This record gives sequence, C-alpha cells and structure tokens, in this order.
Amino acid sequence: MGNNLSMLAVFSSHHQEFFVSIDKSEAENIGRGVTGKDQGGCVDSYDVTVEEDLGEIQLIKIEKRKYWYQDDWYLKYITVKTPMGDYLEFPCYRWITDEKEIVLRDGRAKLPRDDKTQILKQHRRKELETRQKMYRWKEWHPGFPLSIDAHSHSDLPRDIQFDNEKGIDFILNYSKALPKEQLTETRAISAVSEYVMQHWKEDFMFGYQFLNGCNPVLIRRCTEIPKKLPVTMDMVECSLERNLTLEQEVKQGNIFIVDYELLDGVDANKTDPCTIQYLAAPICLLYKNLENKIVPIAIQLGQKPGPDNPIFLPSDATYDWLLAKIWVRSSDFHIHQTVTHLLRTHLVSEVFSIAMFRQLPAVHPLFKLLVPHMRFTIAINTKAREQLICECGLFDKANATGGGGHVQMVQKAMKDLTYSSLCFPEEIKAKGMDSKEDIPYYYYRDDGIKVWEAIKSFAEDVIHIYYESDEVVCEDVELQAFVKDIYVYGMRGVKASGFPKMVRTREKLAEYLTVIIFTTSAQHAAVNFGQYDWCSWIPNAPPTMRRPPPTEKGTVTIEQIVESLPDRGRSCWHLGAVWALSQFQDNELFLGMYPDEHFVEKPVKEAMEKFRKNLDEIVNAIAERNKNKKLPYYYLSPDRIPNSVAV
Amino acid sequence: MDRCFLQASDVFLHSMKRPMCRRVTFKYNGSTIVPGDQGVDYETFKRKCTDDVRLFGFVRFTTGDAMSKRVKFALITWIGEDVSGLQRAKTGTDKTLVKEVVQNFAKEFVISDHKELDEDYIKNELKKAGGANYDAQTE
Repeated sequence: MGNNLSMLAVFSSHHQEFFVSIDKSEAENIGRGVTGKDQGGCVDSYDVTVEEDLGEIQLIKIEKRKYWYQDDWYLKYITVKTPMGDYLEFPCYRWITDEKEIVLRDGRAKLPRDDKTQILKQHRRKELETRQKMYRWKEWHPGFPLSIDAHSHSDLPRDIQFDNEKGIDFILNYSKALPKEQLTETRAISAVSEYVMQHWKEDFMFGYQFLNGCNPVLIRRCTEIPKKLPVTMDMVECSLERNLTLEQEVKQGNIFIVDYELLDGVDANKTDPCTIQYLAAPICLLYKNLENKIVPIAIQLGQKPGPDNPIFLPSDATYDWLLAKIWVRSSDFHIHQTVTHLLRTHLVSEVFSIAMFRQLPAVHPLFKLLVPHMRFTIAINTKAREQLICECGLFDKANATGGGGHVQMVQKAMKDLTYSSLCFPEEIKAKGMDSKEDIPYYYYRDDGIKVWEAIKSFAEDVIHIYYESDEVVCEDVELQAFVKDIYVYGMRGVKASGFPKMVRTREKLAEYLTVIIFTTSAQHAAVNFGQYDWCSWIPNAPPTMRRPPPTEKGTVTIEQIVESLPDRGRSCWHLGAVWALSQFQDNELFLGMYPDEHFVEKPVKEAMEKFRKNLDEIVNAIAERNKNKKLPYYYLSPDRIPNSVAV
Repeated sequence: MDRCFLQASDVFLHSMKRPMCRRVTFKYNGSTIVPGDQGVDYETFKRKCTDDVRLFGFVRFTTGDAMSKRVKFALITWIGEDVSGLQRAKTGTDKTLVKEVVQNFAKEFVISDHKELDEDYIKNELKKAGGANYDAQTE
C-alpha cells in the first residue's frame, strides 16, 4: 500500500527540472517533477507516492539540475500535506544556485537542546559549518568594527545580495537624482525642506535641529561649562531670560551643549588640488528659553580658547553670527554622516548581521526573529565600500571629510560606541535629556522610547515562548556563540565597549535583541530619512567649506560666506546623495511587516499581531501629535521605519 | 593551512590517546597554522596565552562525579587583547579549518580574558555540556 504525500512548492523562477527526496534516515530519491511556468512567482504542487510509512518528516532535500543555461532559483517554502491531512511548512527563502542542494527542516523553531537525534544535530552543525565558511569577518580599516570579507557585492553569498544590483548603484542613482541644470530652481519636494529653506537663518531653527533634525543625538544637558569654553555672563546676558546668572541657569538645567571635539585634528579633504577644504571642531552652547525652545547663545569654532578663536554671540554682527552657525551646521553634517549614520547604524548593524549568519541556524527562533531585520544590510555596506566611501569614491567628491578624514573619524568614535549607548532610553538619560517636563519638544526621544518599548515587549513575548528560564538562555550554545562573535569580532574584543560576552538571563536577552532590532530599524530610520528634508538646502548642511573658519569678529562679509560654502559641482553631488539616501525602496518592508514566514507557530504569530497593533497605536499617536504642526516629526512613525538598514 | 600540516596533526591527535598527553596546541607561524606544543600541563598552555598571540588549544579534561569519570575535550581559541584587527578576523576563518582536523569536542571556547582559562571554570562548562550531574546534592 502506498502513502500519498502532496507537496506544494512555492518558487520564483521558471522552467527547471528538480528532484525532491524526503529524508528519513536512509534516504531515497522518490520523486521528480517539472515546473511548467515561464514567469517568476510560480506555485506548483506535486503528488508523491511512497511504499513505506515515512513517519515524521525530518528533512526535505531539494536538488536542482542545470538546464542549458545558468538560472538561479529562489525557493520560498514547501508545504507538505500528509495522508492524514496535516500541513507541514518548510520555510526556505533562499536561492538555489548551480546544482547545489538545500536540506530543509520544518518551520517549527528549535533550540539546540531540542534536537536530540544525530540526524538533526548533524544538520544543524553542518549548516553552521557552511555558513561560517561563507560569512567571514574582515577588518576594512584598523580600529573599525569588523565587517564582511568580500571585495564586492557580487562576491557576497547569493542569499544576501540585492535582488537587482542596478537599484543600488550609487553612481547611477546619485547622478540621475538631480540634473545639474535644476540646481538654481531648488525643487523642494517636502514641506519640511521648504520650511528649512525659508527659516534656516533663524536661531530657533538652528536650535530645533539638535532635537528633531536628522542628527538629534548630540545635544546634552550642560552640567558644567568646560574650561575650554571661557564664556562669561557678560557675553550671554542678553540671551538669558530668567534674571539668573549663567551658573544659576546651568544649575537649573537650562543650558545645553554640543561639542564637536571629535573633529579636532581630523584631516580635511585634499583630493582636489584646485579646492582647499576645511574642517572645524566647534563648541556650541544653547539655552532653553521661557517658551521651552532651545536656542544657541554662544559658538566657539575651535577647541583651544584664545584670541584667534573668538566666542561668537547672537549679539554680534549679522554675518559673523550667521557664518558661525553655518560652521556648526557643517560640522554637524560630518558627525552625522560618518558617526551617527555610517558607524552607529550601518556598520553596527552589519556586525549583528554577520554574527547571525555565522552562529544561528535557520531553525533557531532567534534567527527567525532577527533575519527580517538584516535584509540587505551587508549588501548595502559592501556596495558603499565599493563605490561610496572607498579611496577615490563618491564620498570624496563633495565632502570635506573625504579622502581619509572619515576613516579617522570612525576610529576616534569607536571609544563611544558602547553597548549602553545603543540602549535608547539609557542613552537619552545619560545625556540628561530624559525629562519630558523639562524638555517638551524632543520628539525624537518621545517617539523613540515608544518604539523601543514596543520592540522590547515583542522580544520578551518571543523569548518567553522558547526560553522557559534563565538557565535555558545560559545553555543555548548557539545564542552564546552569537553574542561572543559580536563581542570578539564585531566589537574587536574591547572590554570597554561594554558589550556582553555572554547573556545569562531572559531579561538581558530581551534588552540585547531590542538593541539589535531598534538599531537596524528605528535608529537608522531616524537618522537617514531626514537627510533630504534637512540637508538639501546647502547652507543648512554644507558638506564642505572652502574658506577657513573666521578668527576675528567684525570682518565677515556676505561674499566670504558665499566663498566658504560649497561650489556648484559639489552641491550637485551632495543633493544627489541626500535625495537618493532618503528614498524608500520599491516594496519596502516596514517595522513589523513579516511576509516571509520563517516562523510557522501560532504563539509567535500572535505575538507579531500584538506587536503590529502596538505599532499602529504609535502611528496614530504620532499622527495626532503632528496635526497642525508646521514642522511635523515623522521619522520614527513605525509606518516609516523600514525593518532593516537597506539604503 | 596546508595539507602537510593536516597530516602531521593527525599524528598529534593519535598521541592524545596516550593517557599522559593532555593537550595539543596550534599556533600561528606568520599566517600559517602549525602544531605547537603538546604536553601534559594545562598551566603551561595557559602561560602561552599572552595578550599578543592567537592560539588554538585542544585540551583533554577528566570530568565527572562520584559515579563516573568521563573524558571530555575542549577546543579553546585564545585571542589576546592586543591582537590586531586583521589577525583577529582571520582566527574566525581559521577556526573553521582547525575544526576540520579536530572534530570531537564537547564544547568550544573563545577566550580573550585570562581569567576565563581557569581550569575549574572550563571543567564546569564541560560538565554542563552533557550528561547528568550526580554530585548535585553536595553543591
């Protein structure tokens, strides 16, 4: 008597011959089928008859034979209907290239301890061995977090490449983004960029960006004015509104500071012999006025106080103060691009991604949880290293930190790349910016904390499904190897980074997973998608300056300002870049959208539903908050947060 | 890592079967991995783990409780804190090759802190890596 099995296989490719064998200890090839469809996205079903009772299906092996030409095959999943009428899901979501075979487990998530038979243990081990050969660590620049060992995008394993390489060709996209002729028209395509263009010179606008611009991470409450900024009461008296001395204002928590000391000593771009470019390392003091708005009250453009390093004030001549603010904006742009964006979202996310592929098999619940948040991250970074931030790359064309300065900046910024600085609420608190009462207009903080809590709650739900105690966490060797890989390789084994070497409790695991998911989704969204809004108006975010910072007051002219700002050619590249970076992909997947069903079990699907519901509530709350605002803040609205770093 | 070395290390693995031989090390000679010492003393292995080197150690321990003594193997990757990023990255890849030679171990360790080389700690981890612990009542 034969046993009938129906198999439903979902592929995206066309005519192929394939073989399906259903493995149970001693395996036999028992079935063969041919797809007939010519277009992608095809679904086929096959009936397979077997003589013996197969028992529980442990593994399915898919083999592909090559036809006349190379044709890669993307297999989404296989559904098996048993003679008893049950459905078993075998998720895949991988490319089958050449004549390789893929062996699939059913979709139920399993910790290492759950696999007790030799055949399953071996499958797990073999999978990790293969992955560790394919995904290797490499140091791109000394001092950097380690990244993927690949020379180019096409070198990467097929499973993590972009679907369409043209889509992310930087050279193609940046040059088509904005034709040179249109520069004089300055086409504003968002309400915010329009507002920026009109109000960029205002002190309120300047201060506001530290809270809700595209780099809202630097401002901190000033607990003591540093000696290197010898600002006196006389200087700032006309800016203060509470009849208090400067010291008293500091004690009350009304003074804020942004220090660009990281830029001190960084080499400016020397790649263009015709254009000398300059960097500064300013210090900016800000004040919370009686309307609770944050405004600048003092700017010193260098780190070492002295007669040729004056402290610029709002009471100075118009162009003196304006140029000082422009210099701060330019410095902010550099820190934003290289530290806030490149290092602290892109490179960090890549570390998590590589460690995940190396240490977590597809059957592990944490692989299933994290993989949607790693989509295209290694690929985009590899492309960036290939075209953008390499020697003589696009970055060198328009940025004062091109030509090597950006490398120095990342190296310097590594000491601040600590685990706790990636814990969003902790980091906000460490900067003294956590009080909603004291600082009411910090939407980045408010929305960020909401999203952090929602992600944490989701992570906790998933952890509770698979880890019934802290002991189970400790004994999960694959999880511990994942955490270890991040520490030893990604973070270079630096103890001071504060990254854990081991995770011992469910609570800590929830925090760890939240750091990963938040960084790859929300944090990146917050600092990336505002680039067009805030940086498309060049004077608000000059990517380079062509004259050195002023060293005395009373001499700045409008001509000096125009000559300092970037030239037309550089402005074009910059515009192309900020436009391209701010685009969502076609078919973007936003936070909580999980169309690939790596998880098949009901409890997790319920947790996902609950997560999506939480996120929807946050979307509504943010929309309500933004109603009637001239400057709405929407970068952390979950419906605008892609799941992963992919641009 | 070349094939000649792999054959030489098969010889080392054989010698692990002799009762007194407890450990085999693999060290870097430039960018090649070569057999290091083999010998009795775990303390000697620990001394070789300095901040500027990378080492792979395949060490035999006897664990067990009153009811049964068991031999267990640990694969230890030592990466000193001062090892450069380039060399650090390579250890990830090379460990895969070492594991082609050394296949049977209860647990593997990646260690940069000397404290974690403590014999009791390693033995305890190996104990947890499998098998019942009959001494539970006395702990």
